Amino acid sequence: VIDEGRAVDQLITRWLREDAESPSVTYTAETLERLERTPQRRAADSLRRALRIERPIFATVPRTVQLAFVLLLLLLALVTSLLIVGSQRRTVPPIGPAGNGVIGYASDDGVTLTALDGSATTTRLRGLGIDSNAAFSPDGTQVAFLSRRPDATSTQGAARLYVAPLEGDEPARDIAGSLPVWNWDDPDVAPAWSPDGTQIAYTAFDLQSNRIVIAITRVDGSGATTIVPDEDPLEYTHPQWSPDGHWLTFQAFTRGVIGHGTRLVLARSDGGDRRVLAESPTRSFSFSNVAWAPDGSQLAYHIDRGPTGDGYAVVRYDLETSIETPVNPPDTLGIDPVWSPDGGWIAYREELRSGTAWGVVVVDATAAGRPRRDLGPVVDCRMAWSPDGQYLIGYAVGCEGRLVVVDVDDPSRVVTLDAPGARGVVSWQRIPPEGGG
Amino acid sequence: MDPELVKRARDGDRAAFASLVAASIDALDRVARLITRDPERAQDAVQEALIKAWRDLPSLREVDKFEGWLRQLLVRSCIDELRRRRRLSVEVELIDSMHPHVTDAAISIADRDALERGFRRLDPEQRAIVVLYYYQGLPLEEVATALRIPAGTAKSRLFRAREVLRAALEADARTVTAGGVA
Repeated sequence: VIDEGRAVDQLITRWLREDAESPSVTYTAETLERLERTPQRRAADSLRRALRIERPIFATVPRTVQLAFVLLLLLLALVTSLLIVGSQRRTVPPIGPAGNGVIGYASDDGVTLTALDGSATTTRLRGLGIDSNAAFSPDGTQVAFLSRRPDATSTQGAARLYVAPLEGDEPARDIAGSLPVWNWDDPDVAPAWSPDGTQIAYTAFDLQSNRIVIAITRVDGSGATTIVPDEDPLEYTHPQWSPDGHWLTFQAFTRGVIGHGTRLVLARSDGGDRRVLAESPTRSFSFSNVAWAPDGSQLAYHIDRGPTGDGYAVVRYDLETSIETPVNPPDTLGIDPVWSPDGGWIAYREELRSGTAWGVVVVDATAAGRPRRDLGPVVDCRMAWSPDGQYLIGYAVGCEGRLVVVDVDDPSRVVTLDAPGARGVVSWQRIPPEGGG
Repeated sequence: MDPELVKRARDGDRAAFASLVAASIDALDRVARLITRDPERAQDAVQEALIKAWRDLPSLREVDKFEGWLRQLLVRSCIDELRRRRRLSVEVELIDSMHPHVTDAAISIADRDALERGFRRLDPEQRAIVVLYYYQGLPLEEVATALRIPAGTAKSRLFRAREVLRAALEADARTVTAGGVA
């Protein structure tokens, strides 16, 4: 398989190199002429550039009219948000801090469970051979994971959803039915447990319609339903449950059509009452990591602002007011927000616009104004909080083979765990607080 | 890139910037052609990137980052260019095929066609990742920097893109086999 993979890599490289053979460009002079007509921007223009205010758009409009226009837009946004959110059910936090159980991840060897100190490591619960994305149920008694056969040749519909209890010797059972998992071990597509632990939402490939849809199935595999996009080639991916279990958010992505954006959609868990909450102008990984606040009042997500915004930003979205609030400073990029179990903090990864390294940052999610914490470039992928909110876990730099756990209060306390072949999300089992960690 | 030239260009020296353009335009064009699969779009993307580079050069603090910064601008211009021209149909794009002169027998025509088909299915960001990684040989960290995305995301996107290309090759192989039997 490795040799075959290398052969594909070499073929792609050779093809591109051969295609790149071309004579010298003939438009150098024309380019230089255009440059002659282009003035350099003075440094004083930098703020206007950062705010993406282009002179041609508003140069001829009086300032009072501009101000009135902005106020009108704000008023419209407020009225719209009140109308939209008015129909939403207010939520009560059904989940919160818990005790730390074992850490779980999936690989070719099955699902591995290990304690924080690396002891008591066991590997069992195999699927079809190539397993990924292990996720514990909210009560910590079961684990779901994705699996596909090693010899599968299609990326469409080759993976399955497995569930198993953590206690006893019961083997993992396939609950995907006629709705296989889409995109096998893509690390961005993980099963999402409903807060009450009775259902799982996942990104499925509907073999009948050849559509990528959200599937929701009971844990015993019965009663599967789907949320199907209104139009083709739209596809729905990355479902996340609201804390009350009544709502789902998911990403709407337009496959194969250049120029369409990526949307964040909110819908009832039966697919009804669908509405677009936010939209990125680019086909990107925006909304691939939506985190609900534990009280269900807000979302945190990353969004690619696209050609006019230049990169990813982390924002909070207030479901009551529909107002987006930036989380990372304007001169930085931000991705992968995760809300602490008590709702008091948001952790995310941040890159200075001038730099190349991404560091973990923890910011106050309340109105208390507590200072931010910079934990350094410790977690590179799939960051998550420990159930007690004391640690952050994820893949170490390089995103494969090693997990890292960092103490949020004391970032010098870092534990590294070998996790050979780990794929997709890493999950931390929730147990009663008195159970310890 | 000569840091002295970059410094002078940053200070408004047009001749210095013209020297930088002359030194880099061929390489930029090759990358843009590979991503856009169209010489005219490539030209537009390269010119757009160079104009942005000249216009915003005073904001570049570290001259030794000029090359990476220019790469970022080019990749963004290519992606924008592909999006702006989205209304062109796939059929039209295929007519624009950019490599009629290639006669190298190292890659079969069937593989070449399969890769071309697979590549055209990729979205603009994936195309850029494939070109920077496989053609320019950049490490994933630099690919990620060029697209302003984290390395983990770049890796994931590369994985997706590679799967599409591999599937295209496999589908083509199956077609050839079936055709041979028939």
